[in-house]
Amino acid sequence: MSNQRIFYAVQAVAIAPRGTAAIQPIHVVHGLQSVGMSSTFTLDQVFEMGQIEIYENIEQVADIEITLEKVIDGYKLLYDLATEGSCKTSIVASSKKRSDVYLAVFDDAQDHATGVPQTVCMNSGMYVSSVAYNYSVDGSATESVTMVGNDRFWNTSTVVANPSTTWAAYLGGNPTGSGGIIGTDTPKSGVVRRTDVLLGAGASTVPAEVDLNKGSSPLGNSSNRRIQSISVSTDFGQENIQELGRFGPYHRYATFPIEVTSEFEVVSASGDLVSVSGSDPNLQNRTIIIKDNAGTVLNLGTKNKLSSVSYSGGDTGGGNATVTYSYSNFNVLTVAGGSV
Amino acid sequence: MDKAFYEKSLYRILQGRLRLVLGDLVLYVYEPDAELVEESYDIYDESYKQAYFRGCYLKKDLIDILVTNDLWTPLYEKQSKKLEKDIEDLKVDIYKTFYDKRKVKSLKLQIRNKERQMTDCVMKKHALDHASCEGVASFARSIWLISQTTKLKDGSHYMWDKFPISIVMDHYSSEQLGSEVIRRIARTDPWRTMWYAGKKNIDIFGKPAYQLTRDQLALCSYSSMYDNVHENPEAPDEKIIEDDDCLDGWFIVQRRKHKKDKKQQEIDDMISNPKIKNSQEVFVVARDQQAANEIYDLNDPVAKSTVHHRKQAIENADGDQISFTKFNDVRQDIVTQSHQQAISKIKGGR
Repeated sequence: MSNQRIFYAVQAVAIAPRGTAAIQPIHVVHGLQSVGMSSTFTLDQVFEMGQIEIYENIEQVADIEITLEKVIDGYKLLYDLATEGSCKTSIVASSKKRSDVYLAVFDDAQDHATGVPQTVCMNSGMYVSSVAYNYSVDGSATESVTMVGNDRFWNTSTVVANPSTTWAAYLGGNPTGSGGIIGTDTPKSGVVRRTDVLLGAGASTVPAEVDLNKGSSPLGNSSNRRIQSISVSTDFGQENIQELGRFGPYHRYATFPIEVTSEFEVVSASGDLVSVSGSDPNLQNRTIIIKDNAGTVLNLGTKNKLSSVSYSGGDTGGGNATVTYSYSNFNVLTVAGGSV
Repeated sequence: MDKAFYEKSLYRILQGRLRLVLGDLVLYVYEPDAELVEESYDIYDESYKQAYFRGCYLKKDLIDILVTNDLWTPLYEKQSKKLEKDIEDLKVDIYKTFYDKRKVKSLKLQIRNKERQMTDCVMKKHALDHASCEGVASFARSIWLISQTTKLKDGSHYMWDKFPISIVMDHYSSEQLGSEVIRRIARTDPWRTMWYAGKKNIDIFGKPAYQLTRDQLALCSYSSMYDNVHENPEAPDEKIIEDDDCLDGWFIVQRRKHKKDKKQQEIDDMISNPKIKNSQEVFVVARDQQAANEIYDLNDPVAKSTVHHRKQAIENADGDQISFTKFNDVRQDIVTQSHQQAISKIKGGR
């Protein structure tokens, strides 16, 4: 594929368990913002001694990637849809789940208007490759999921069964089941903004280092922690396993151990306040759990260790000094929250 | 038209009146002042009421009559929009091929031809306007305005004893200055010098803007437009500025570029995720076909063509699934990639 971007107008996106016979409203992604798709082809050239012309140009299986981003709004999370709910229990189970991603694409005709998708792009048997959550003081909380696979198809009239009946029924304003897009739907919990991040007592659990800059007289959900942004991400590093006699891979596997990273950016009143000793161990295991008003719970377990601290800002330009605390753990991330 | 015509027209605009010579009679048709324009709407309202109670149609009701009598169909409107777009495209072509004089001549002929066709389409819709309440009222207002603004040389009102008002109206209508005349005046001397001098003294016509005549306002507007063109860092060549069609083409190119850049910026601002921003295919959620069309307009001609060819391939598959590797653009990219890899492999083997 060339580096030139092609913009498509997408009507709706659905993520269904692999091999689902007919898309249901519960598979539709709500709060979707944008989607990016890319593909990579690998070619192997074989030459022969004595011949300038290529002997054979061998095409390897194409790798396709799709990245989706949605606002956190109380509806089912992308990670949940892509892993059939396994994200609530284990990263290992999540890394093995496969799903089909459907994009209902608008026609590019200038004078055509209908609720029925004209073209559907189907990405089949996709594995979750990476997941990221981001909360910041300005803007909405977002979830971003990247999925990888090897099969992408386009068609006009079939989404496994028939998009005219399975999709149009709820995309056209006549939902046959809960969860579809009816044209007047609103965020289930409200889109999560800074005020919706539950950082007060008994809600989220943040590492002790983050609280070193904590202020007094807590107000609202912030607990005066001066946190500017929180991001949680992980990359499964899905790799193909090939077998003799087959073109495509028979399986993809996550390259364990999977590192789960989290970052907390805090406005600093007096430096990063992290002491480092050369004679004793400096770090302790920290528990990290992030909760918001939409019911999202990002549980990074109890064995997160501070991996870096960076201090920036506070320059002559007048910017605030901020400290970014980065933590990492291995193989622990469960994500709960969101519903149909 | 010669220079004298443009100078004469300029002084007509400056005087704010049309000088009519009808045999041995000289009449002056002045542009109405704000007071007269305000009063003229009383005439309009009165005539509208009379026409309405006489049983005249409303303008919106005429559409049905036009359609029933095969005088107009919605297709004309569609055709008119298409012609408008064609004219825009031709003006862009003329701007881009300005130095090919033969092509410019041919394109200008095409533009004039399409302009005529567009006027025909538009006129068809308004063929019965004169019979509507609005048409009758507008006509009555125009007659009243002409009756109030037609004067003799000494400033006294003409009593309509020798020529009827319709003769003056016909002359007044036929001698309206076209935009091409005003544009030519706006970019040439002696007006250009007056304009620059006037800009420093603010009141070029010696009266506030609301008292300016229609032609005076048009002249100021075009003059500002030419100022802006000259001040633009990407200003076109003087020869392009002097050709109305070419300059229109330049405006269209600038407008389309600005619109596209703005939309692209909006999308870039909206897509904060670098993975999505740097993807080969970006899918943006659209709520209706209009929003979808705006998203598709973000694509440059090559990307648009790719979308179009993919759509054809999908339709030709007749409902069957088509793998994206079967798309021509993807196949071409694979071949290009293959050639590049082969070249680098051969060169690397040296």
